Amino acid sequence: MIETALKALFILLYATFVGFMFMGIIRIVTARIHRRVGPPIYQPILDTIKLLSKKSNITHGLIYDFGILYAVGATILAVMFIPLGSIGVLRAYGDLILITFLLEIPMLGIMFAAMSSGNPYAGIGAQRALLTLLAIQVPLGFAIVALAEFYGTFSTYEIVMAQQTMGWSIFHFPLLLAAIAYDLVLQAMFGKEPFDIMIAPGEISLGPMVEFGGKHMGLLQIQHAIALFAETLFFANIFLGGGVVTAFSSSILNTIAGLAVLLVKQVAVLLIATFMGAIFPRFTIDQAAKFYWKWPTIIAALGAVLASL
Amino acid sequence: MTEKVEYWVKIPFGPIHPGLEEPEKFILTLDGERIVDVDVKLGYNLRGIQWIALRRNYIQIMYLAERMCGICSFSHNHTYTRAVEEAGNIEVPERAEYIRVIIGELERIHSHLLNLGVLAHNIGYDTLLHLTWLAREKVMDTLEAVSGNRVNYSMVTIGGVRRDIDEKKRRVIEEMIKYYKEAFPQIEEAFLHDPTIEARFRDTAVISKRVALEQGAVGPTGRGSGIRDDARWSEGLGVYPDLGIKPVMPQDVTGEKPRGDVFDRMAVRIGELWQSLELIEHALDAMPDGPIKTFPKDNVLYAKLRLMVDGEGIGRYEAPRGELVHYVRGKKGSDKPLRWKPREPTFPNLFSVAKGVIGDQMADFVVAVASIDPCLSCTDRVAVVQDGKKKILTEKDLLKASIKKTREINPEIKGDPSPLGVGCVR
Repeated sequence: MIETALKALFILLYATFVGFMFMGIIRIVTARIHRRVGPPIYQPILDTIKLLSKKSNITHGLIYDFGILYAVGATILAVMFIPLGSIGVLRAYGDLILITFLLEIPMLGIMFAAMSSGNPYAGIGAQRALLTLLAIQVPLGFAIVALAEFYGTFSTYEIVMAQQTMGWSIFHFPLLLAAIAYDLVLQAMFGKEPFDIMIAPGEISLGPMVEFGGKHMGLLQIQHAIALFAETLFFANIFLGGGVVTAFSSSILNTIAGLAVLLVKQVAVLLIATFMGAIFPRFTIDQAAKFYWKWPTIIAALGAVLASL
Repeated sequence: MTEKVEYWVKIPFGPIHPGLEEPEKFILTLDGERIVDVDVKLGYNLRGIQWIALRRNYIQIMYLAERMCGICSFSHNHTYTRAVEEAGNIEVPERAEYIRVIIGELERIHSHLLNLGVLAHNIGYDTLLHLTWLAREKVMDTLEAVSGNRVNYSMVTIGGVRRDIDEKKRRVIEEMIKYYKEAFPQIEEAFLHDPTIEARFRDTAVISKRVALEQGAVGPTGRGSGIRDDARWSEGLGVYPDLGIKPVMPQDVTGEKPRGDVFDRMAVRIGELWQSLELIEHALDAMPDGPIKTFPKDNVLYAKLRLMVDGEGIGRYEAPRGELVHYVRGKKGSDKPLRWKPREPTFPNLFSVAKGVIGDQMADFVVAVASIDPCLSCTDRVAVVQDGKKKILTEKDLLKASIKKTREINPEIKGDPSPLGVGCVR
């Protein structure tokens, strides 16, 4: 029991820390692409500490506070279900559909809070976020179906284990298609260009986030960090072979090596998203929906059909 | 229709908003994402420049005009100077006219690069923003080397220019031209041949030629809608005809018929970047030797202006944003103008884009506003018409009105609102 609790605590702390580092990496890499210097890698942590130390004077009711907790809770739950190398608390129950669902519902929590604030920008942002959520469902569903069809299981852990013998998912053609579709979906989940119309900083001033400040915003930063970690981890697990290392005799060394392998894969996923974000402008919401219902859907559906054959 | 109205939402856009560079307010009526109506509210950036000018003499107003706007500081200064020169029949040496062309075109490059960056930023393309603004640094440095300042150049004076372009400055400008011959193709490629940029800019905020003519759109906004007009060309301004000036139309850049959308306005700006570069090159080659000002000393100028300026003068110049007009009326024997009135290009452009954006998406609104390159600091003015009589508000009246409003909003406010110290004695 205590061991499980310790593991859960470790996962939480590790996910938060690495998530913040990821946020720093995104900012530094983007800055270097822009030929700027960029902030230090720990800048998001400093920002969050500052935000958490602020006093929140304004609240817009129960839902406004609850929505944030809902978002943070769902993200933490998601990270518990995803296998992290050989550490896992709930990984045996880590169903593909469950994790996908848990990775998406934080958005709903943020939207509850944003809508209850009554800010028109937040309303518009939430409306756009809902539409984006709707748009990414179709390719996402097909990609998950392709995976389940190919491996004959919905369990994430079993898929990771199967990849140790069969090779990474992306080396199989049908799953490569699913991976491409999933990566495009990931762009919207990260909220990076070209699908960041829901936050659109220069236009509706961060959309759903516009009314948050102080502790609410700090908690949302933490949620964002953990979500970044969870989303990249999920992708690394189901498409890039996860982080199972059995080369050493000591189990601790194996665990550390597994985490390191996973980290490299996660950073690779993150960098692809950052590069994509740097070379595209933002699409309007109808352009984004049209795009998602066209190319990623076709690719993922093709992958699903090929996987089931 | 009447049932639908309930679902329409009115949202304020500004006065302070990350998408707008200056305080300006729009009230958008939205039907979902679609813009149904735009209400433009001006007056958040009024500084009473014309009022200040009533207490300044001709020479002081030159520097005041320059500070109306940071980006087109040369344009205001230059146009005002032209108006005074016309009112006083003052001849300008030819070399000075060439130097004015050079500084004016340098300023145009800097203003257009700035606007292109803002456009890219508004569609979330920050990589392009940093690319254009990096290129902009070069022209700012050149302007600093030539005039001594990055923003307020103070190059023009009544009857000439204040500083000469010698061999050393000429080399700096030539080096800049060489740099831009390499940098502009990159920018042009990114803006004109990127399909995602085309997806956002094409058919967005279309200002038809009819609307543009009705609202009097000028500059890149008017030319983007197909109005062949450029004050430098139609007026035959200074030495511009000798340098072969022609209005840049969208078809010259894109090869397609002008449609009046954001893309066309952007294409005109990119065409003008190249044109400005060519003009600078020609002007450097064709620049004759000779004096740079009619009156070598400012005190002589001051004395002469008292005697010479009598009657009206109008200065016209094609500022980066469009045609700029300054009107000056003076009286013999006075060192102050009786009336000085600038007319800025943003005012008509803003209303034509407010018409053009109706029916587009909310996401396109920032882009549409940025596409006319609004410069609100020169547009805002105040005039109160009460009971059919015009009334001029002084600073004291405005202060009184603002105290009254504050009390109205929050009657419990504490503190003494009367200004501290003596302030300016009027």
